[in-house]
Amino acid sequence: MKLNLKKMGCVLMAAVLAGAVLTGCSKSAPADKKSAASNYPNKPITLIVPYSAGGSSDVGARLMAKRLETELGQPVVVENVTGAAGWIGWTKMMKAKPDGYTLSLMNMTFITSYLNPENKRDMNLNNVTLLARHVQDTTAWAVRPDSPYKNVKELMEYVKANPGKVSVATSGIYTQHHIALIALEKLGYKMKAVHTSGVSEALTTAMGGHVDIVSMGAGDIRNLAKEGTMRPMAVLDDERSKYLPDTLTMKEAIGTDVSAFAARGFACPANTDPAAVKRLEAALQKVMADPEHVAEMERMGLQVSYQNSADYTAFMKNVETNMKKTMGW
Amino acid sequence: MEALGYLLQGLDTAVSGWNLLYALIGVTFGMLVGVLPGLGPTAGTALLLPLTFGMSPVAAVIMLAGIYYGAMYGGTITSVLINTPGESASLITCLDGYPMARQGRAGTALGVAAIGSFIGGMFALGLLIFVGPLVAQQALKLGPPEYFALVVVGLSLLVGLMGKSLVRGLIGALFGLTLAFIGIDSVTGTMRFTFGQTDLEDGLEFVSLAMGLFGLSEIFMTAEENLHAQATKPPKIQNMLPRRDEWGPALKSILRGSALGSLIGLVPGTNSVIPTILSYSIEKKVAKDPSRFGKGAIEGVAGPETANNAYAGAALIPLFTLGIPSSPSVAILLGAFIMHGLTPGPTLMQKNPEFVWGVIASMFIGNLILLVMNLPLANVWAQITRIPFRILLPNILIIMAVGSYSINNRLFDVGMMLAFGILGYFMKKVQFPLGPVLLTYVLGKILETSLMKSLTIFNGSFMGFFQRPISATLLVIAISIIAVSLYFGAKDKGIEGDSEM
Repeated sequence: MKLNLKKMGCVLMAAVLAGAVLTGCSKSAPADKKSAASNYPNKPITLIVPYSAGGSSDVGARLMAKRLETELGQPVVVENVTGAAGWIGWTKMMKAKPDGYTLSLMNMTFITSYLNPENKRDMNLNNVTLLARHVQDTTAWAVRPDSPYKNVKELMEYVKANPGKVSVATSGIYTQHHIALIALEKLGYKMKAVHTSGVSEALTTAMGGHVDIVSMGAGDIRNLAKEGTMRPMAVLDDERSKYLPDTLTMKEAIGTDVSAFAARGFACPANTDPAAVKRLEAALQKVMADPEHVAEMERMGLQVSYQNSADYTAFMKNVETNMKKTMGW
Repeated sequence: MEALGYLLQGLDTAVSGWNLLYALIGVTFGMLVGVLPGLGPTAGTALLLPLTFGMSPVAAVIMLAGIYYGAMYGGTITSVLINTPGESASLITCLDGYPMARQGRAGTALGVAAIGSFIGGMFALGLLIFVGPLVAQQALKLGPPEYFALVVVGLSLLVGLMGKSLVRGLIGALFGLTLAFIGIDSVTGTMRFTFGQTDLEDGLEFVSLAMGLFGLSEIFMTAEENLHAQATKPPKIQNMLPRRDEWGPALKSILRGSALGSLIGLVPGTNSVIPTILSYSIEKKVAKDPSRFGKGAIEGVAGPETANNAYAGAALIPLFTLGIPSSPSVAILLGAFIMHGLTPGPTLMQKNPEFVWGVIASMFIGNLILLVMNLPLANVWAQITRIPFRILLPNILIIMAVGSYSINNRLFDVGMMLAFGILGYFMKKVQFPLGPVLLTYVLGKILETSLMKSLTIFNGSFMGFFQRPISATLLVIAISIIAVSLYFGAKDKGIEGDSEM
């Protein structure tokens, strides 16, 4: 037993010594604090992706993270914090220390999430600093190649005459695909929304002929059209899509603009250290100006669409206003 | 036989250069994520996806596909040894695999699972090569109404898994269905039973639920029973091959499992649990002595384990031939295709034959590697049961906690696992069967969403289900199964009581 005590003594001594060394280190840290802003970043940065790994949002964020690392000279670690359609990840980001070391991927559904009274969220756009917009993807509709509808004009005339007959597969409730259908219904075009668990299920359901139309990103539809699997039907925008130049827009078909798109960017907590924000903004802009990054995103069907912090913030406020109007929230 | 020529060319691609090494890395990593509860093939493929940026497309997909089917082999190990499914496809293996391990036959259970997995995988690959494009197109015709009918068949067969008491089994099944309600309603967007908790909005995390109810409760039971009983050495581990009289039945269940798993794998929108449930139920129905099930019947391991591998292989058919991912892990493979500049779809096989056939050939090799890795190693893994509990249990506990955290990177899931572990402990004490709870939980989610989607398509009319040939047939089968069970149940009551149930 005595021997053991002796051993324990040694361990204790070692622990005390180690502790002393550690405190010594941490004490020296505050000395650097003054220059903290100028030498940001000096430790790894966490990029929270509020979706599961492997999806197109995640891949887009990872492609950015890879280049941000070179730009900032620090590792950018992607952390997939999933749940509640992204809100769990966003909450984690908003509650993080506003020191510029925690960012998150931002999406328009952030706004849908807190506007929807059912969700009872207690945070909103005021709790984040929007850094830059990264991707915008216009929504489009596609049908099976043998579909009886030749073009969107014909289709929408049929819809108007037969309310609730034509079905559209969406990737989920309150997605941009669903909200566009609500907007169309208000204009007198009532269609059946079939909500699936995601893009691939929506597509499968349409390919199998169980629904008439699938609502997806224009980039994905471009690839399907190339393969001859699906036929593009309409672009939900006021101008034609770069990916589908020959496809009519909804505005061309019914005269009113019904737009739907996905737009993603990057955000950090509100009141983040201004120096860090500036550094991040500059780095993000530089990556998005790099043609190599644009090309690798393009291959994934993701269209890089840069906006700086101020423009992106205005853009999101505008999305908020429109969504309130359409949904009556 | 044109396909065979392509396959030989593919074999050339698969063994040349670094591709063989990538297949080895892929399947080894897949085994590993399969073994660790919590980490599954989806997380595994996603983790290694960024590493493939610099690789050639064929090498990248060979490696990622290896993780995907490798995990199906690994998931069995924890189910058999510690009654904790490594992932959902191996859940049903717990029912008979774990009793086998307790009888000292862990090696046999793992061995037969490895053989079955290999045959199932090969069967699905054969299907992919010879009839893939043809059947995949047909499988698309199965939509939400057919999924609904398929799940109803699955539920009607659940009676076979109820354990000793039908009443307790039914209560368990209803409890599982109730748990499936938690979270957002996919059609109306209403929050159900979330009590204002953001963490509950997506419902309960299946893996945490399964690890808690099955695994953790088992740890509590074991801790209570024999943490101090050091003297009782675990039984000596026997041969990893089945006994001579078991070969016949085991091989038959492997063949049935192969066919069943491949068929269901073709249908996008199903999940890997459905073929395992169907396989287990069918094995129990055709067995000469169904009472052995739940007590270490080898068919109860061989059938489902084969079915989930055949399912995994067949699920790649829609990916290669139509560009449709049928599960989240396959969706990541699809992402890898696109990232490397390949457009998945009907023309992929014509445009990039060397890619497609290279990957297919590598899967033959990968399955072979896995068989070699698993069969002799079955006994090595089985040695885990000989580690004293006081050392083994805390370690399993740590792995499980890390595993359940890693799914969504949130502590909530770990807490939930603990809560369900305690619940599972008490349920075991009063002999509530836990299988029905988890199975109805998995099926309940598909049941509800497919029902709602179908009703939207049918404008709210239930008759629609009977106007489509496949869903009508399946529903009639389900109704007959229930009617027959009820009839025989009532008839046998006087003689046997509910012992058979």
